[in-house]
Amino acid sequence: MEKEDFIDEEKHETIKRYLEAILGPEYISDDPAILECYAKDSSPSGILFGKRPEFVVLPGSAEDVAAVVRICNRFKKPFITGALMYQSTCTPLRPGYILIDMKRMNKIIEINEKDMYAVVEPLVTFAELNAEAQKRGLFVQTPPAGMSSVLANHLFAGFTQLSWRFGISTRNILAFEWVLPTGEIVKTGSLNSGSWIWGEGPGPDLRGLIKGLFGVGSGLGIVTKMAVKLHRWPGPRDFTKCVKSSSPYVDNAWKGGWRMEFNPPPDKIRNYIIAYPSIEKLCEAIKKLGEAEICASVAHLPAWFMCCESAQSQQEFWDLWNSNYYQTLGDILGPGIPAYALFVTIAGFTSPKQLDYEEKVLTKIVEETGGKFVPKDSRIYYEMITCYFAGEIWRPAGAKNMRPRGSFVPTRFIFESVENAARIYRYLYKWTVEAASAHNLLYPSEGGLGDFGHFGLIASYDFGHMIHVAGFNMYYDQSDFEQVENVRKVMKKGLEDDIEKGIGVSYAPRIPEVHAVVGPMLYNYHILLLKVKKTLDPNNIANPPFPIEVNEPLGKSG
Amino acid sequence: MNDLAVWAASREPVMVAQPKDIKEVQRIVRWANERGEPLIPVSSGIHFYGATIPDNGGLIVDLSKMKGIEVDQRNRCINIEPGVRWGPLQMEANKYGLRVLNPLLPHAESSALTSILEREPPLVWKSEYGERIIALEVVLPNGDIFRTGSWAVKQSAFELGHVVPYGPGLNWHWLFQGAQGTLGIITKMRIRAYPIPSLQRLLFITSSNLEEIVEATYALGKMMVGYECFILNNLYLASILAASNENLGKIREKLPAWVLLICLSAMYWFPKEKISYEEEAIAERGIEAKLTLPELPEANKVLLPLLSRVWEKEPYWRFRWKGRNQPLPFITSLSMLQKHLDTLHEILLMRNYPFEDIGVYVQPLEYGRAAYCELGFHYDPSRDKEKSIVKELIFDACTRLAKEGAFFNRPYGPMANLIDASYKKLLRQVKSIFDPNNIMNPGKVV
Amino acid sequence: MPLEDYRRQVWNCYRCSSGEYVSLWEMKSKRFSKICPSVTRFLWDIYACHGKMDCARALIDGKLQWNDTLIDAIYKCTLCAACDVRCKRAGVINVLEVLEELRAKCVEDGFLKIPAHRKALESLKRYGNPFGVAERQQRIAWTQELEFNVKIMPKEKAPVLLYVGSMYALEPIVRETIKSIARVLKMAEVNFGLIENEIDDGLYALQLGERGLFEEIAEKNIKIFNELGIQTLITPDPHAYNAFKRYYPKIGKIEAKVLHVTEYLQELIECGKIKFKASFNRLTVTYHDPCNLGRVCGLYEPPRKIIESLRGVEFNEMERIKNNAWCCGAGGGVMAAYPEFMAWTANERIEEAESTGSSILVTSCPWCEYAFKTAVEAKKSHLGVYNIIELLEKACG
Repeated sequence: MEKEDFIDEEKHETIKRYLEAILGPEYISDDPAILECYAKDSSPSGILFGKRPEFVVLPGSAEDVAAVVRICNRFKKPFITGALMYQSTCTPLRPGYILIDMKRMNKIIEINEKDMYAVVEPLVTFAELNAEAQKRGLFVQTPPAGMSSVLANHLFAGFTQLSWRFGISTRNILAFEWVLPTGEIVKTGSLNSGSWIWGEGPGPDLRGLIKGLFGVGSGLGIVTKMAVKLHRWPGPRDFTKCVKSSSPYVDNAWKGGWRMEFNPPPDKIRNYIIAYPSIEKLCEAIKKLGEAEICASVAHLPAWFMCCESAQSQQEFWDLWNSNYYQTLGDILGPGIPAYALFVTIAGFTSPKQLDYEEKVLTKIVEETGGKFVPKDSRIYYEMITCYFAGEIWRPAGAKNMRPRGSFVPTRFIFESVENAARIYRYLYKWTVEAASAHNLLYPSEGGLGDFGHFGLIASYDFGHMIHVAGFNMYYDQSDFEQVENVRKVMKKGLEDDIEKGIGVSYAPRIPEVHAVVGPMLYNYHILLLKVKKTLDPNNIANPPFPIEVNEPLGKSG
Repeated sequence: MNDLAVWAASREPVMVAQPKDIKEVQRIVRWANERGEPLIPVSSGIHFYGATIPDNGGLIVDLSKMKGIEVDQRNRCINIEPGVRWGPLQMEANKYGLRVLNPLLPHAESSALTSILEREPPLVWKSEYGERIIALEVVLPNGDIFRTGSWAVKQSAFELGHVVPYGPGLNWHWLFQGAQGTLGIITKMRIRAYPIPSLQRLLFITSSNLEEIVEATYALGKMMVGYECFILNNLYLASILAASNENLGKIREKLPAWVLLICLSAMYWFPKEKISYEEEAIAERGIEAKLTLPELPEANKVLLPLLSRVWEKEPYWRFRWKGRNQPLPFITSLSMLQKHLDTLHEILLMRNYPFEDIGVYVQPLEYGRAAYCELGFHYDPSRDKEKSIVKELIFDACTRLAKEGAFFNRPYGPMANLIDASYKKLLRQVKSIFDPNNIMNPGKVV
Repeated sequence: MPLEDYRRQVWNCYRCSSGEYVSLWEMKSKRFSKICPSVTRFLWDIYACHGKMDCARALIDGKLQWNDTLIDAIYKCTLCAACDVRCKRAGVINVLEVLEELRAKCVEDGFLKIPAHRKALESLKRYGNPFGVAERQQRIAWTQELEFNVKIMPKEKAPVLLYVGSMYALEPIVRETIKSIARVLKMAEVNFGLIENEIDDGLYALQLGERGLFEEIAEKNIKIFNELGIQTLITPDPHAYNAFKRYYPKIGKIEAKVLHVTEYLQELIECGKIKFKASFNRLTVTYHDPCNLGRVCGLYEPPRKIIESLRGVEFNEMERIKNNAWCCGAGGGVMAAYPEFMAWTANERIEEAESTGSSILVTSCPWCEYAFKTAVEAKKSHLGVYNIIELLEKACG
């Protein structure tokens, strides 16, 4: 198959000429082999419905991007953008898109040490920015994903382990340069005065148009440069000096895996795992730690996650899981008794004495809330702290959630207050088991799907003012379409349930189809959203149907 | 109305309405839409920036009667209506062991809601505290009610904490901030509340040289210490400290040119130990932080309680020097402050306006990653000429400071002219989405 | 395994892009953050490992046909295994195997049209080397430049076979190295010999996708080695080392112990059989890990130990070392078919070497030496390029 049969050949060639005229022929392609590489992502929708774009283009600047967007407007050709395209929906689900691959725009424009910000283009990754920032005593807080674009992740989701101190990535965005769906370039924030230093305003903060809890998938334009907040890095200037890396080959034979250890100096950073007998007690600890205003990171990681990180192969994952080792944290509360792990990091931002102080307070709170420290000489501590968590919160580690079955997708994100976290957690666990069974996604011989009878993770923000319960991952083999379809059904059911129960709905609308259903429950925001979309994108070419479908009625309110 | 902006023409409102609840606000808005009548929402009893002047006539919607406060202690949030003043708000929060982050000595008649909405910065510079606004309840220009964030969820099978600011769909709560009432009328705001420290230690760092103060600020920011942290020049500090207006000049002469105030605080657990290691760290950095001002030993005792209070006396501290003061607020880098002041100096020289009549308040933001700077242009309100000179100075200062990178993110009066054309165009488009009939405070911002 | 058997793996490529970058905890700068020369140079996703996984998926499912772009992407790759190793940190795909299978399928389906590759394969078949050198005698011609005679097997016997490899035997640019190796072995009184009519190790054929030819060559070589009655086979060519250690065992067993020459010599240094007489005068040195020696076969320490044992040498590591090493650009058939790509890749590494402030770049692979020497000359860089054994020879006086 050389060309999709929906393509209007003449229009295709005309557009191609225009694109070549702007970018040069070496930066545009309609070759099927190249297009195929953009035809699928790892989400159930991307797997089942992903389409090849009609063109892929590689712009080198905001002006290039703007010119491409103007061509899209002229020919009414929809576009979609992509940076690293990891775990996100950058695959066209409809035919005839121009995919704007931001790969050439990969510069760190500036790192300002005094005013603690960095200006990046779309293809700067977290690891790269941190490699440069940490040398200067700063860091950008990092999601626990593999390679991610700093710019795209700040716009898309931006949940990081250090959000406990430094907030969700949404509030770490400063000024940015933005190509509107019409091709005009807008400068937000202090760029109005030629500096990157501040994000709000002037006047109404229009950054709100391009961000909700999740982003709008370039449905309202493309950000081509962004300033992000950097924070004080408490560790040594050369991060790599604390890293020990093993060779994945032993005696010339591949043994699988690549073990790395991160041991920061204890007068700068300290890490703990605390075992709790219940999620309620764990949440109580989160609340108290927040009130005490200590720690750099506070998160609950469930057993499945620990197995993913610890295992060096798929087989080892299943061996570990079936041993119940992580479910009981090595029987720390007694043989066979489930234990819930709270991961805590403290850092000496002020001085080494801050560590001693915070450790003292932490110990008291752990005592009060009935927790138990996992010993630092235990296997769990070594595997989970030294080989994973200690480094992963400051630099990405490379997500290993593919271990169990090949692919995964987190199906639920519920943001709430810490007061309600445990209730939501328990409810979602029960829901997951029921929904997974109903859709034949439980395989008893492999220990089950969903989170395998264990729970999702809890991350926390702004000293515990807000938390999110996430995970309830569905693990699936992307090549098994029946499994993928079942995962999709579970996700859909989850969304329907969220809507019915009224939890998590205020940010559900990352999914365009949902607005008409959810909108009337939420003060008809969807009507405003539609107006925004129609005003900013009159030709509906900015990654339709994001953020909202323009061509369908608005349900009862429309 | 009591709007004191020097650039604002004096206009009388055609009508004033004082709704007592959201339903009445809705009725007013629908009425205004039918008639094309401009609406100017007002919550405070005093205004500094001209945002409440009815340039095109119209109805003042005075929300000061809406004074509800609801404290959600479990989730550390407070819902406030527009008429709530800082004083009663702080008192109510304190009853629950909480506090709100107030700006520097707000006027007793300042609406807390408006102050936060219009981005008056808090004294507390902790970046961990995040955004103060969690959610907004708005009457849109078509009369519909709208809520932002997870507050938009009307019904749930669970008890919700309503702590999520984002969504639904977009960050609407950002759009309404800094809007000067041009996109709708905010009838309620849900804000974050924070624990009250159990121990505080206010420290003073002084210098005749602003650059030394700036370096100290950067150093303190690096250490991530302190809660309230701000810089005043001697005029503004004297305006706060002087027991009487008559005394102000003398106090001012005693004081060092620049004072950086930082309040170390500790919560429930081992507070003395916390304060102690922070003080030690500050000393190890070579920063000389004093417990009070040697020139004015009572300064600590006077200032510490004021950090979370309103200014209750008359005249307002900002007016004490000459009777009136036009603040000019902008955001900049700490390292640019001296340059801005040098530029200001040049501008003032050309009009023979004494530099000594400028109050300077610098509020470092998020451990000093940026700074909110307020230049206070003092003048005698009984002298039209002085007012007129101040107006010219402000117009001039805006333009020149903007060229140096000063960012006027609160675009009042002449500052609105500094908005980049592309952003302005987008603002107009957004305005047309929300307020196609252009009834909401027309002529402001864009 | 046929490509179809990788269906599940390639479908489960998560597109994490790990294969494009060095290990995230070991990344030291933005400048030297990438690990894949192909996608770094050519940008399109098809040049990255995940792009090739996508193409494999589509080929298997019949959604894609061979075309020039696909062939170009598959062969503009040195098979340095960086993506394979990086993927194993998180994923479940044997990336290198898939890349090899894609090439095998390209050949099987009759689409190997790259003239330089066809020529190399033909030469391998006919002459036992990929360089078109017809005369077998040429392989030992370099021994004439030595000051002593070298045993030639099977006529003469020796317990240690020095398997030279086609590059060192036939490529003039790296000639000095093999002579240094012979001299050092002589100084260490090692009883060694070469094979008369040595034939290539065959990895070249495997890497180009010509499996059948590789198997033929491997069978021949195994037979020859085993019939020699040697105890130890040492080779200075990591490609040969890789072939013997990882691929030959699928065909048959080499009875002798197989070592890279640095492994062997490092042992000799440790047990005192090599003695240093000379000292360098503050020579600043950086070391490049050859992919086939380091990443693929796990040999990082012996060359480093040799460097560290030399007196008067200051050793400065580059940012991307060991698992994270940036390829020289010569392997996988790139040297023959895409010399500009090789030059670009080598140049990237030269810049990294220069950034350490060192005056010398040493390596332990003839392909790397070739790539760097040609790049340094084109760039007019001050950097000297040597094999580690050349330094060792000098140190032995």
